[in-house]
Amino acid sequence: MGLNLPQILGQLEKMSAALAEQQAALRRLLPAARKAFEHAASLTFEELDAQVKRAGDRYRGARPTEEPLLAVFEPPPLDAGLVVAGADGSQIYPDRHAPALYFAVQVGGLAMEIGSGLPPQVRTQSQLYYQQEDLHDQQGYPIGNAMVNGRRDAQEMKALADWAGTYAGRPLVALLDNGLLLWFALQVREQNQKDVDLILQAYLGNLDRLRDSGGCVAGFIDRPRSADVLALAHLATLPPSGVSDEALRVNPFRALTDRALFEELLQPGQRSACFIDSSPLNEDFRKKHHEVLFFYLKTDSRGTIARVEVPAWVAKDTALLGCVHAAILDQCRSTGGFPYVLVRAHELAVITNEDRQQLEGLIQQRLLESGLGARPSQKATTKRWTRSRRKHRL
Amino acid sequence: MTSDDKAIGRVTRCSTRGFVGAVRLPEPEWPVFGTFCRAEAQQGHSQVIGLIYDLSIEDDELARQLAATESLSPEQLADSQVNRQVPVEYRALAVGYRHGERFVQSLPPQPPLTLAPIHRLSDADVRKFTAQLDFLKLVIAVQEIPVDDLLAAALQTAAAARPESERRAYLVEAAAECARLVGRDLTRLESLVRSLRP
Amino acid sequence: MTNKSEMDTYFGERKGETPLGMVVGGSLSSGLLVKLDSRLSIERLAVGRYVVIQGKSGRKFFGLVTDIALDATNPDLVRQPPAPDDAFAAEVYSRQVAYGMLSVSPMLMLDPEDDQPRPNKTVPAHFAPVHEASAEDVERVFGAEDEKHLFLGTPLDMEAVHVNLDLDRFVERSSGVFGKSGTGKSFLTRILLAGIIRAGRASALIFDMHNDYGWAVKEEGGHEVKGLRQLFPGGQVSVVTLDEDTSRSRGSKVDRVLKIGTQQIEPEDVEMLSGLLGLSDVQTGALPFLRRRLGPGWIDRLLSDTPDDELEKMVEDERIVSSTLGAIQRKFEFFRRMGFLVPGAGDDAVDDIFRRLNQGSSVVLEFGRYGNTLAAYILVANYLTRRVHERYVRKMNEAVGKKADEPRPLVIVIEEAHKFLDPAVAGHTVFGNIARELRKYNVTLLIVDQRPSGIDDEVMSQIGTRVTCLLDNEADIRAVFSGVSGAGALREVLARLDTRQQALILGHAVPMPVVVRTRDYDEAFYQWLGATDDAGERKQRAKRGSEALFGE
Ligand SMILES: Nc1ncnc2c1ncn2[C@@H]1O[C@H](COP(=O)(O)OP(=O)(O)OP(=O)(O)O)[C@@H](O)[C@H]1O
Ligand SMILES: [Mg+2]
Repeated sequence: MGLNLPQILGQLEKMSAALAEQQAALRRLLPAARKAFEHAASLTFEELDAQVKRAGDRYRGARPTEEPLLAVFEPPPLDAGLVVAGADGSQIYPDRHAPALYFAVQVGGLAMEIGSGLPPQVRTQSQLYYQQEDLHDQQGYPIGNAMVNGRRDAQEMKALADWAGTYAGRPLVALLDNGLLLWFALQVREQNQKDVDLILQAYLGNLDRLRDSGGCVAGFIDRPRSADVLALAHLATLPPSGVSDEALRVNPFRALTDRALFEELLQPGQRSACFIDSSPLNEDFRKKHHEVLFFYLKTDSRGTIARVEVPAWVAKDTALLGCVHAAILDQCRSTGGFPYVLVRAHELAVITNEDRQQLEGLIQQRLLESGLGARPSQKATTKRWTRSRRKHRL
Repeated sequence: MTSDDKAIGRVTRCSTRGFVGAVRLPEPEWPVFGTFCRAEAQQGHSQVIGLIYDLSIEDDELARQLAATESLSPEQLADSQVNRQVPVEYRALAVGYRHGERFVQSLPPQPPLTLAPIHRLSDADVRKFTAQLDFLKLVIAVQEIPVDDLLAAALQTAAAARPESERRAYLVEAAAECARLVGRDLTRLESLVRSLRP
Repeated sequence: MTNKSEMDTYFGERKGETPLGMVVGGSLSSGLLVKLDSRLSIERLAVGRYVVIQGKSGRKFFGLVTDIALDATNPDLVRQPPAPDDAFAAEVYSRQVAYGMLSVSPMLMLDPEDDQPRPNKTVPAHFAPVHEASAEDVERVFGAEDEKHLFLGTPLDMEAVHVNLDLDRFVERSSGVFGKSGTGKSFLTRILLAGIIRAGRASALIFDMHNDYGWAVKEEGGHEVKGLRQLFPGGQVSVVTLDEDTSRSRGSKVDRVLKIGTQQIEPEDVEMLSGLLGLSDVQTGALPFLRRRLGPGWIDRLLSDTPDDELEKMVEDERIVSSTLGAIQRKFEFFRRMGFLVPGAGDDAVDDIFRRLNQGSSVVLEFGRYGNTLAAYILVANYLTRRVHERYVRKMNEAVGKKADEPRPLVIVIEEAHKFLDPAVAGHTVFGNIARELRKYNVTLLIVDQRPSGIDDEVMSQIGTRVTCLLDNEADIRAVFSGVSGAGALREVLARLDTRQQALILGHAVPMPVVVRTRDYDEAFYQWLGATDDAGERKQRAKRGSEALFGE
């Protein structure tokens, strides 16, 4: 059965009305937010930093760097001979209805030698996980999707480090279709300390490799929804004595995003100042000299804002930072605001439903051949029945 | 020609006269015009032998986006042409079927199964299938496709699947069969024979 | 199948052999059309070769290739051939679009249950495979050489095979040897006659116009070959000459000199000459009257220089116009020049010749220098033949029913036969009668001629066996085939014979038409006749002494 469209249509109208109302409300908030940010910018770095310190561990906003808050930066010219690499991953989550319990990760990547005229090099790396220890956490429970995501993210970083190895000694910008912080670690650290640490260390190790082979790396986040900078603006508005958990929580700009702010502040091609991500996870990164900073970037003339994350060793090196800035803009030119290498990395990585079906067919066949009765669960089978009936009607 | 067993797509539409296959592959791996392929039919009891005669590149959003930009870099262009797995759709004419080890050169009793994987015919199978030339009749009877170009491509493929020393003799025999079938039209025969020259 | 194996012993095993092609059309009367297998080169074939066709019913057909043609499935091909330098296209086209066609005349057929092939009464079914006949096939058709079969030559490209002529059948009806001048008619006729004489099947009376048969014949190349008298020293051949001087100077052995008494000549003997002598119809018509009035010595009296009262009286009585008489007398002057004519009653030459013939001796009548005078040839041939024939008729009539008393079969050989058998005279000459009455009186003709178109159609159609060397005149070719069914197809074969020593044999004495290379008339032939050691030579050799025995 398809979607009951007549029923949905009525709801759809209400939905659009509500969305329009929200938008209008947000637009009304924006001037105040901008004023607050300008106020924050009027403070000295020391004043602002002192205020942040006052907010303590629970503060989740951006922390300032020495770059003035309102500063904007034009991109430097693009280095000739630059290599731009990109990686992206996709996965098949473990499914207890499948003929066998497994999960899979596939990472696609490519490296483009700018100005060479050559077709980029492409690589696809697929990995099947089926061992008991891969499939279960330390307590013996089946792992969740977050763990799979973590492995995928780690593989992505490994792919980028590999590209950097391939082009060691040449200027290289490696782009990740994600933030640099390994988010899954925060989600599942408790249940699976050991594995998470292993993955995290491997991830950080790959960042070392990247840096050591002379490349630089950036995470690219399209349509960022974060409001870290607005949190900082809000913090700046508080009197030093009024800084409390309670005050931080009642952030009037909560519904807004940094994107809305920087859409107004940046001209196409310009980047904002760098900020430091205050996630507790960044502490692990900082300890390994990969503290993550970020800036906003207007990638095209239509005003698309992206958030770009870089490790401190990139942010602190004007040349490297400029290189990242210029490379991302160059990549976004033909694609309408999203780096070309990431579009292609995604295309290489993606596992379609059809691929997945084929894989399961193969698994089933192999297991049968080796005398292991492998059958999808009855539920999966019935699902397939209905699915294939729909296919025939196409 | 490779004889590897990698599928070159799946059947999306079909009839007993032929089928349509679709696949995403980078250009170097696309099947070529005149390729012999096979697809399962009758619950795997038989395989339809097809001859690919029409390849089309399906609509692709990225390609469309890239085509619209003025600032396409040479590397991106090369990437699209060499690396990208472009959705390809191709039509294959049914020229026979395989039942067990036996090849039959007439229309198959049933079309292939929907979504059946399509494979290239291995060189050995191409040799075996094309040892008979009755399939030429099936091709020639088809209207509105470039029959002669297809015949030439198919027969050159079949010749290429044979050892060097047998190719000329094979092409002579095949061309003679064409001559028997289209002998009424000498202008047509002449160009067909020219395209079959070893 | 036992039948099948019998058949295979007859026409040979066919398994595994690629056929030349297959039957695609045709008819019994016009011949079969055979599409040539594209893998064979058309250039390998030749008209005059034999093929064996395997019919669908098990019946086998024996045929003769009579024409070879290039054909195409598409008639436009002649206007639109492949490019001249395109070897590939040429090869492709010649597999399918362009092909060779054979015209095959079906000749004999063999049913599985038969052991002898029979003349063809039907055609093989569509698409019957056609094979080249093997030497064994052909050999079986022409049978073995024996007492009554003469090995006359070998089929084209089959030197090991003998084509044997059935001599009984050959003399049973009149036969002919035709061909342009210099194609080997006389040599062939000599071989035929030698065969007939050797087999003792018949006697021959040979009117030897050019001294070709009796003794030491000069070959075109210059060296001499033996005559029949030399080949048969044992009395089977007599030489009778009209011109003793010439014969003796050639060293010819002469058994008798023929003199004809003027009183023996009848008006009928002269009638044949009227054209040559320039006698008008009126003048010819007057001859029997003159004979009646003047008696047996009529010619002598007409030629006499002394005045003859009776003749004057006849003119006076207006029984004959004086100018007519004068013209006859003037034209009869010809007889004076013929040295073999002697005034008076003559001798028993005709009886002697009849006796010789009837006793089994063939007679070669040498004309010597008179051979150049056609009128002399015709006069003598006609004179002798009429009288010999008369005696045969008489003897035959006396013998009614008793085989033993029948006269021995006689073959009368005439060269330049059209002079005797042209449509104007054939109706009432003895030669015309002999040809028409078949073997009723045991006399048949062997006519040797280079212009068969000059021979009366009716006579031609009675010729049982025709041995034909190259002819290139259309009318002559047509004449040779008159009365032969399916002859059209053979014309191509005939027109393509070599200029010498090749002949197409068809008719009564062979099971089917055949092209042969005539056997050589040479030492080996003499040896076969057992005639090398004639007495003269033996003596010569003995004289040369013993040292030569080792020197040789
Ligand atoms: N069977 C043969 N054996 C040897 N030589 C032959 C034979 N047949 C023909 N010849 C050669 O061909 C020449 C011509 O042959 P022949 O005299 O028989 O021709 P013809 O047809 O009788 O000519 P014509 O009409 O002028 O009399 C002979 O001199 C001889 O050299
Ligand atoms: Mg002669």
